[in-house]
Amino acid sequence: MTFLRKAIVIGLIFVTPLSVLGGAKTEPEKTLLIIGDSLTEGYGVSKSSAYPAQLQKLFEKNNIPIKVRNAGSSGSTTASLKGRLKWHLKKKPDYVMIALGANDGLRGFPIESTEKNLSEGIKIAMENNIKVILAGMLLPMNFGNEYRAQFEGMYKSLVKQHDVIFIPFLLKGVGGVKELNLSDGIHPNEKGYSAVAKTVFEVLKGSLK
Amino acid sequence: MRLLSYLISELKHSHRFVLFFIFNLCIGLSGFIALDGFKSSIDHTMKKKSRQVLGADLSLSARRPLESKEVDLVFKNLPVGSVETEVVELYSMVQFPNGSTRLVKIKAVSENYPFYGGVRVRSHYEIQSNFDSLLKSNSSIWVFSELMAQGDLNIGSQLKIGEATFLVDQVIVDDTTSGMGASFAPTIYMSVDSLKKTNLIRKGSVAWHSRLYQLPPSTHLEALTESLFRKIPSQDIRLTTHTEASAQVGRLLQSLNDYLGLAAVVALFLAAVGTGFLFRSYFQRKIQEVAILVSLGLTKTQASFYYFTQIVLLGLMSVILALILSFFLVPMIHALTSEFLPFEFEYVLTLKTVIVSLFVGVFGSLFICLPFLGQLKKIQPVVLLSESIDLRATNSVTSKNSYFEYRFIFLCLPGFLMFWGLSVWQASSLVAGTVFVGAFLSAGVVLIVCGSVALKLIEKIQIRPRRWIALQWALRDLARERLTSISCFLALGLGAVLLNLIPQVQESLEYELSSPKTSKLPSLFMFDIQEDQLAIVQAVFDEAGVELTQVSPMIQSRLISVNNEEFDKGKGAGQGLSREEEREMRFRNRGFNLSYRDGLSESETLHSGQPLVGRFEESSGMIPGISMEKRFARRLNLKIGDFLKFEIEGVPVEGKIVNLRSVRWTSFQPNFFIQFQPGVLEMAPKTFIATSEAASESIKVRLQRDLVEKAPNVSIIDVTRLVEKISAVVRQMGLALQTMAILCLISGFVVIFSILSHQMEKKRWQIGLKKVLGADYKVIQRYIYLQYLILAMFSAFLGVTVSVVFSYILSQVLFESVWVFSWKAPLFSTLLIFVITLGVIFVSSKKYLRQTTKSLLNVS
Repeated sequence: MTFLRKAIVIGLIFVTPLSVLGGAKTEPEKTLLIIGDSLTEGYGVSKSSAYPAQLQKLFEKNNIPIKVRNAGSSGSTTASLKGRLKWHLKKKPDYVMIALGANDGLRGFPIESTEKNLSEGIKIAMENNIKVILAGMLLPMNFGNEYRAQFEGMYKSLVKQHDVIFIPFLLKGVGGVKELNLSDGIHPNEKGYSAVAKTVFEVLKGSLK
Repeated sequence: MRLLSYLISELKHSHRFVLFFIFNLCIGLSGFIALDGFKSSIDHTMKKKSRQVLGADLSLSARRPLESKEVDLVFKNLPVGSVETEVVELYSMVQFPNGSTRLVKIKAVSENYPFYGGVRVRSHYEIQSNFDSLLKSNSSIWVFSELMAQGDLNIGSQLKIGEATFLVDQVIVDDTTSGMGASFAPTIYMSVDSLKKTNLIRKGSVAWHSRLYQLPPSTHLEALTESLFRKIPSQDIRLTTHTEASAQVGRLLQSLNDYLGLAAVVALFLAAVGTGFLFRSYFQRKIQEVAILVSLGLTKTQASFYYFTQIVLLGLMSVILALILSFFLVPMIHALTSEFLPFEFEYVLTLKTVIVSLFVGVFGSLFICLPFLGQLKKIQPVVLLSESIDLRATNSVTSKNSYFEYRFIFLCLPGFLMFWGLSVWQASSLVAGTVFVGAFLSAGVVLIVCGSVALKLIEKIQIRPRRWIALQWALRDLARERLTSISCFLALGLGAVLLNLIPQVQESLEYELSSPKTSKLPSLFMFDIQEDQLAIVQAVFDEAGVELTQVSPMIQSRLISVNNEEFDKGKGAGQGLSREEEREMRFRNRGFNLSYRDGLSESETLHSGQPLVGRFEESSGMIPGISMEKRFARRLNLKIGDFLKFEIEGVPVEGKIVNLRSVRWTSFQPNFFIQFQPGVLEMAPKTFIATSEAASESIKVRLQRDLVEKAPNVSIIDVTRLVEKISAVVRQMGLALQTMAILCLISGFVVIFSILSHQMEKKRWQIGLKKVLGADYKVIQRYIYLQYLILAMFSAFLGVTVSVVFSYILSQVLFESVWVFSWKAPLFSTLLIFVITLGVIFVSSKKYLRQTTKSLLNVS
């Protein structure tokens, strides 16, 4: 009994200062909403392996009090952004990460229309005092230099216009790497999503306060 | 030798039996051969078509360039004489002369492409597989006609693709390799060398790199693919056989194949029923003769050998006749159907079919007769002292009845096993074949039980008035000749079961294949329409004068839990999964498209459970209802009453499965696996899909241009060609179903005719006796009519009823289709049996009543 009492007392001594020092529980938790396509939804892997869930773990590990909400929807294009944002405004997030555009590019949409959709979405978020993070995408080489350059330039132009936090390439270090993708060569596997989560985390850890 | 000459003279004396036996077996076997030949022909034609879809027998592909060691490894393991060609497919942007751009699918081909099929260009009517002019030129491309319209192009127009410019050399109007699929973008053909000029293939490109192979005709494709699968180390390489490539209508074709197999087995079963019945009657008559021979010193083994030889001889004659008949019948079907068929159809009578027919004809008839022959053992000379020639008479003189009953059942086993094997072989499924045989046996048991009960009741009926003497005789004969009545009832009943079965199943399959009567086939298919774009899209269609139809909401979701337990997502990715496991895992982890609709559409049928009624009210405290497509539910192992939790963009939505429904996918209407009750998903983020009816080419181009301008994200796919192709296959299948049903009806007609004619033949002696006793001509005639009409109509009615249940089981188990009750089929079957019965009695009774009493009594 004496040993047990001692152990509890020692344990309390170690645990109490940690929670006080960390201060995580005292700060109100903020929400990061990620609106994206199949890459965000985690096509082909379980929800817990998709990058938003892995990002959540990284936040927790680093005592960053942010709750991540995965609003990925396979096959979605930038045209859906406005409607989806309006739906999520009912439970307004603090931050929104827009990870759309890949399907627009792969389906060869005019760049102007994609840019317009993204721009309107960013404006809606900003008007609602939501901090915006824009995740950029690159198109595969087979889409030709011209279209690829226009597509890449579109993100840069949006960042300039709206002064938003920018992740230049969501699939950095993952796209085209056989070991990190499913056999379709497009969607990351669990390891790939880990890498994507790290890419996003690296940009966000200093920006989200 | 003496035995053989006796055998031949015996057969000569029993010419009516021989004739009926051979006729019956011959028609059954001809039906089997013709149906199996037809089935093989369809299989052959479809394989040819599927080769045209892939352009080869086998393909090796990956979403990355194939390494030379991988290509070498595969080619090294192919049979000698195999030929290969390279194909690269990718999406890219093309720039029109006016500067606008468009997404296209590029298909780069090389020497030898394609091994099968090809394209039809505007300047030629025939499909051509000669790509020489394309392969020789570094600047030519062949372009799909849709792109010509979209870019306002002509032959010779310049298109910029990647870093190179090409000239349009040919316009493609049809492509066998597009199969049954519809593509996002029109295709451009170029050579692999030309593709290099574009510089579109480099590190970071996404393209399908394939090697297509033509294999020697004798190659066993499945075994080869299996062995290659084991040898290829990379998981991201896909091996596709031509049959997999054209699997889009696979299930429908499988149903047709199963149906044809079933019809072939039914034809044989019909023949078996008739043969068994005829032989049993014949053998009963021979018991006394056998007893005489036994008393004269014939051993039981010699007697068995004698009858075995007789049956084998009859079986062999039937097969030979059937094969000769089939050589006329099969080309006749060909001539009959080729006029209506949408594409060239090759008829083949394979050696396999001929061998199987020989086996079935000789051994089948032996196995069918074996249980009766087994009773030779219990025939004793004492039978000669008995008045009755019924085998029951012999039972009374032996104490080993139960032994012989077991022996009878045991001797039924070879026949049962043979037919079970045939059913499994024809249905290509152990379960389906077993279900068919099981259902058939159950039908027999039901008929025997019902027949016995009915005869017991008949026994108790007392008919007093003298004027009803004919009815009295008819009922008394039925009850007294119990075994004969039951065997005749069983044979007619099973005949009715089989006769009605095929048209009944045909009705269900045709229903599934057909499009709903009021629906019009779509021409254009639109998706990714946002809620705020609905009005814009509607206006574009209104301006073009085309009706926008089937506008359906679509909500992306993820299934989180089933009955509050996390939904089984399968193993994690990258854990050394096989291709199949990874495919299954991707299926289970993919998003689920939800929709909502009030009630069922005309292409849907409620399979089980309650319909979704009314709008869901949150205040009701109830759980929203979900309607699920039955096959989808089975694949996910879900059932009615399961509580599902979905997540739509992070927001949970719950519901309970209240019904399972079947969907006729051939309706080409937007349908969803999971439908929610209205009132749940209206506020969720969603897109819409819609269809439109047929429109002219110019209108389609206008619609596409207007949509690109006003709602560029809305994808518009022209499904006209796809719908036409599938409809053509469906039409062909419908015709095949009808042809087979007619063939089965003919087989059934012959069997029922044989049974009744034979039965009437047996009645000769009784007619003679009644004449001796001074019975009136009309009374005897009425008595015969009544006896056989009662027997035939009761067995027809019961057989047809059992058959309806049988067809329901088959529709559910074998075809997994919607079961449709057709009142026409049972009515027609019953009427047919009625007419045959009347006809046979009319002819036979007239003939026998006119004969002298002496000649009638002369026949035992």
